[in-house]
Amino acid sequence: MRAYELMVIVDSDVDDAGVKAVNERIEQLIVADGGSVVKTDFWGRRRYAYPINHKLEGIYTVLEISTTASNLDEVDRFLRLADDVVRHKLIRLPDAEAERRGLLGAAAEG
Amino acid sequence: MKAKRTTKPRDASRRGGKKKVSVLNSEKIDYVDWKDVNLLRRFMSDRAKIRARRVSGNDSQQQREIARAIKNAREMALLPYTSRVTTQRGRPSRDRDDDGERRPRAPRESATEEFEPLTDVEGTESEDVVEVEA
Repeated sequence: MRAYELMVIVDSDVDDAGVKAVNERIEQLIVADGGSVVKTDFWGRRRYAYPINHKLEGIYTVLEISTTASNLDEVDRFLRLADDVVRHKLIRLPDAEAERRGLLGAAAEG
Repeated sequence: MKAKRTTKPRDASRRGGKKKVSVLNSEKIDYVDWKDVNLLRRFMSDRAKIRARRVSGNDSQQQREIARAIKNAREMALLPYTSRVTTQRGRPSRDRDDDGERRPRAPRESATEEFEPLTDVEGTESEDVVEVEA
């Protein structure tokens, strides 16, 4: 099991239901591969540091994920294709940091 | 990646002042989170450039992690790539921000103005003297 961190920016024109749909789809894809979303941190609307697509803000969500290696290709593909998703970033958390946040332990239980 | 932190005993090579200590050392941060905008901003200049190691006091590992984190944060629009600094006319104040960064110059036609503050200072000084004597 490895810990990952996924940040997703959804377009600010998308309504709450749309954002929820994106997040649920991500979780669905991860669970389907035997992983789990340990923590979902919904930041909400946040101003960009610079305009993206002529928009000044986006809806941010950070997910902490625990899954086996390279099961996230499908998630990445979905995020790249999804029109509502402005940007996303998937980062492998170093084991030490994952442990500190309790990601690996929680994965063993779930 | 764990950054090895050794305090260098030889700070005599540094010209004047004491050895710079990175915020990462003084606040005992062992994982540079790319989402921590407030932390990363402290390693950027007001024009949003990444501060040099000699300014930030980072060792090479720390500097690499900071740079990586800032670049990640930039991609996600958490931090700017550039930010304009408003210029005030006249002599640029040389503040303690010694990162060797070129401050925007005043417009071209005021290039000669750079000498004026000097003469002004002298002028007022001599006036003061006259007043005291009178």
